[in-house]
Amino acid sequence: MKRITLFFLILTSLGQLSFAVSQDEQIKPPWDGNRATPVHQIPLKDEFDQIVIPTESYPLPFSSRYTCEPCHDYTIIQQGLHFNMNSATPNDRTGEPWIWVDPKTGTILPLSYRNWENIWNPRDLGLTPWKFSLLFGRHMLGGGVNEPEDDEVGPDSRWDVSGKIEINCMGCHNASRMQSHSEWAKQILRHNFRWAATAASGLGEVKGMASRLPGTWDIFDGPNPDDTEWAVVPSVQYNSGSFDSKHRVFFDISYKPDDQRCLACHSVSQVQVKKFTTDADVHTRAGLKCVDCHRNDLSHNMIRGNEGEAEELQNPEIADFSCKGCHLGNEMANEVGTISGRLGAPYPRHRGIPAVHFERLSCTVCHAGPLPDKEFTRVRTSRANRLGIYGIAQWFTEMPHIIEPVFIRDESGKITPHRLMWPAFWGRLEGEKIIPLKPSDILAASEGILDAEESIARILIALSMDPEIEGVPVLVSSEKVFTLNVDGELETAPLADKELDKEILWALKKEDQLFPLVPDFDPNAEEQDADIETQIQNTLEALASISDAPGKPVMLYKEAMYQIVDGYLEKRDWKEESVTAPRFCWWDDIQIKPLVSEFHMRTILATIGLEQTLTEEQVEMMLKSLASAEDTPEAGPSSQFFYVSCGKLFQIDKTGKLKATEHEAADPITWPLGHQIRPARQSLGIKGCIECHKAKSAFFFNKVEGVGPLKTQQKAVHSNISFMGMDKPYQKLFGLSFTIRPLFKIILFVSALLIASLLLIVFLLALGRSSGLIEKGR
Amino acid sequence: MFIIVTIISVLGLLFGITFNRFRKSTDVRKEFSGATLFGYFAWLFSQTSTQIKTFDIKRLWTLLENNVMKLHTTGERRIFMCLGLSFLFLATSGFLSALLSSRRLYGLPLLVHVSVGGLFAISLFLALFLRAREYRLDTENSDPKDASTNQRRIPESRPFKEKILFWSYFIGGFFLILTALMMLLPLFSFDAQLDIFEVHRYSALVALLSGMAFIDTALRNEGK
Repeated sequence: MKRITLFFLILTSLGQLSFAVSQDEQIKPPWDGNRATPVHQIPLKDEFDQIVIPTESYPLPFSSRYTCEPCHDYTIIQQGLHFNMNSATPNDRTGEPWIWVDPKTGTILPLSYRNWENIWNPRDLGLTPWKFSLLFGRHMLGGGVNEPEDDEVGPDSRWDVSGKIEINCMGCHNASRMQSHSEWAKQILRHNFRWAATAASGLGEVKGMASRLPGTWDIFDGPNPDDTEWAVVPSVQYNSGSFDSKHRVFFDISYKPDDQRCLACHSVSQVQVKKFTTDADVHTRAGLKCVDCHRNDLSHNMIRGNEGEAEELQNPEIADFSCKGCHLGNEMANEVGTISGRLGAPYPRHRGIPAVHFERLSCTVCHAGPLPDKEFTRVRTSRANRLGIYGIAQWFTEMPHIIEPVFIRDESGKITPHRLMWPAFWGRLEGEKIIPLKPSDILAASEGILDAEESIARILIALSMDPEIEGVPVLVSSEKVFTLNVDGELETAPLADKELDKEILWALKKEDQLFPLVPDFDPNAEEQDADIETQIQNTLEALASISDAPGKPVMLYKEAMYQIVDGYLEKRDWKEESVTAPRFCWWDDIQIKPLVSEFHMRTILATIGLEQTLTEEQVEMMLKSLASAEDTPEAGPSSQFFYVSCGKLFQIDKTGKLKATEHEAADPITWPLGHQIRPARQSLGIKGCIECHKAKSAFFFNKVEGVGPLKTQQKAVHSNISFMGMDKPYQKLFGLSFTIRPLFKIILFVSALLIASLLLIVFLLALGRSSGLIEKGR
Repeated sequence: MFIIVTIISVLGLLFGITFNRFRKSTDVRKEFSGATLFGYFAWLFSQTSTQIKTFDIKRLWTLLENNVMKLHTTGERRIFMCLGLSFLFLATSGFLSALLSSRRLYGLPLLVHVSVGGLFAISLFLALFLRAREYRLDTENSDPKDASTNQRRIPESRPFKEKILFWSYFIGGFFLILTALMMLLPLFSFDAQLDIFEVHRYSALVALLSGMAFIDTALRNEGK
């Protein structure tokens, strides 16, 4: 009996085990061959693997991991190209780095977790995954560094508050036009990490900002009913109409993502070119999608499509998806090779192009990017310049300054077009070792140096807080009028009324006319105009609200000083100097200081309206400040601080002056470009050899000048030919030879014709003689 | 493939020429045996070392002058010098890069090679224009043994072997010029250009081999 019981127990256990195994197999079945995309009417699950019921009082945002994983193995997908940046080991082909831009400190620092030359690893800069996600999560898809392991979280991180950024499957695979990258970016910037995918997909509306919540909050605390104005806990309101009776929602899934999904992060556009004039890639026009070439399986290891990728990855199949593989056939696939023409790719005949071009140049030299011109083409990219985020404020940035096409000989020895960017950053030299400094480290030592714009802006803001003020406060100096824009930044316009151009004048702008803040009056008059006194008092009270002011605000006029004492306007004699027009200053009981220092005015006048935000004077002061700072981390006698910009490394020399030298840390950063592909009729060389081969061709001899946040004449200059590693005198000579090439062809043609004629005559005579038609000569 | 064919054909021709001279100078019987080969290499070695020891550029120039230069007018001499020197340069630059470099001719040597090619084209036509009559195939072939010893008078006809070699050289030269021209024109696809380039290389080989054989044959016939 016991044996029978034991037998049945074993049998039952085996049955359950096989059932469980078969269930696993059923949950993640392999593709059955059906080419239609299954309808995704599925329940949403939250990060606790619980079904989301939209009518609940506080539904959580859906989790991609738990919603999609029943059918799609999340751990396999995590190894994909878009998610493996902090764990990828191979030193693969360089791509566009992440660029940390901080205009105030003049920082343009290229970052990547991948091992690319001259590009900094965020870990080396002390950037935690949290900070990295805040900086760049706007154009990331989640996973990887955005979803760190628990042991990777640091003291500065707020993952418990914001949640982790899971892989946003809908970011690529949502075919609905409601998928909004702009919404994703805004949610990330509000620190609403776990809510971002829900908001971006359009499945629900997300309110609140995790950035305002205390660090001790977590998801279990729920909403705060006491604060519905400021620190509002993020919440989701789902579109209940999207759910059926079983709480399932329809996901409009595209197996092959639409190009719009890719372009959200991979857009590249020429600056100052209107959208309606831009052409799409020729492959797009032919009906191909991005993912028709950049394919992947479940692992999401996308094919990049560059030559040599198949050899590098030891995968002959992916050679089909390079330019050569599609258009010329995949020689790697087997010994015989496959025929070309996949996806209808035309076979290029390349008439008249000497074979050496195909050995030395990549396909993209002639077919991708803008045609070489006298000036390089300046472009903006989504990730570098923050494109595609829309709202009242301007989100995109002018910096970094990226140009293309720069032709560079890559690791394979082929000349390839690249995009180029000049880095700019502060750092420390420890012997030969370069240690970049974070913007926060620079700001800590920058008091009074890098805040020229803020010093003016805070005064204009303070003046605008006066409720009785009529007009917009402005600053007039050097024939320029400075005003604040909606982002709190200074804007400048030329001064129309030259009479108002004093050294520095604070004024009011009313209906396009400028009026002094305080009009002329006689301080010595027995009875003062009450309105003027009120104006003076209000202005002084507004200025007094500025924190960290170097003294109390006063107004000087003629031989009088006006100040606020115990809430009343007080006038006293001022014998130090006679002031010809009302002037507002700071008074620290010892000396008078201008509202804005001469240094700040000098800096602003030099940089306003320009992309450059720093002057050499500022850099010199900043380097001295860093060197003298006692609490600079690890600063020692052997440390020397520097600033890199415009291709040069700036340091303080022994005489205490700023000097610029060349250094590899200041070298430009480049990465290959593959798009936009132009049609054959617009390829480089279609007009003939002299498009490239002439004495002053843009292709060879265009010069790249260093660009950066520093306003300086000391800039590095490189030419295309130096990047290609070719000989300049020879290329000039070769280019010149094309002027006589037509004559040369004529000589060859005439010679060949004449020789052919003689040969023909001899042949015909011999034929005639041998056939007896012509008598043999003696 | 081209490298192998070039090496084999050039070495084969040199062997043929020198073996022929060895046979005629030593009255060796025509059969090809081990002893004959041994004798040939010994003869070759001794001839080579003698030539190296007694090498004198003036003597060489005198030989050239007496056997070749004095047979032609000043203008003809210049044309043939131009043809010879340009071909020598083109052959050297072309074959050296083909045999010794994995990369084709490039850079300044390529630029000079193409430029000298123009000179070669002109001189080839002029040389053919001047000499086609005496090498025409429709006339009787002269007996090399009856060649005139008058140094100023060029025989009106040449031995058949010389004629064949002459025309081989000029046909090779014609195809060299034609293929060079074809590669400069924007008419042919990439695959066609590769084929044209192969024709160019093999034409150069034909011209080189026939040129070498022609000089040997002509010098021997003149010597008689």
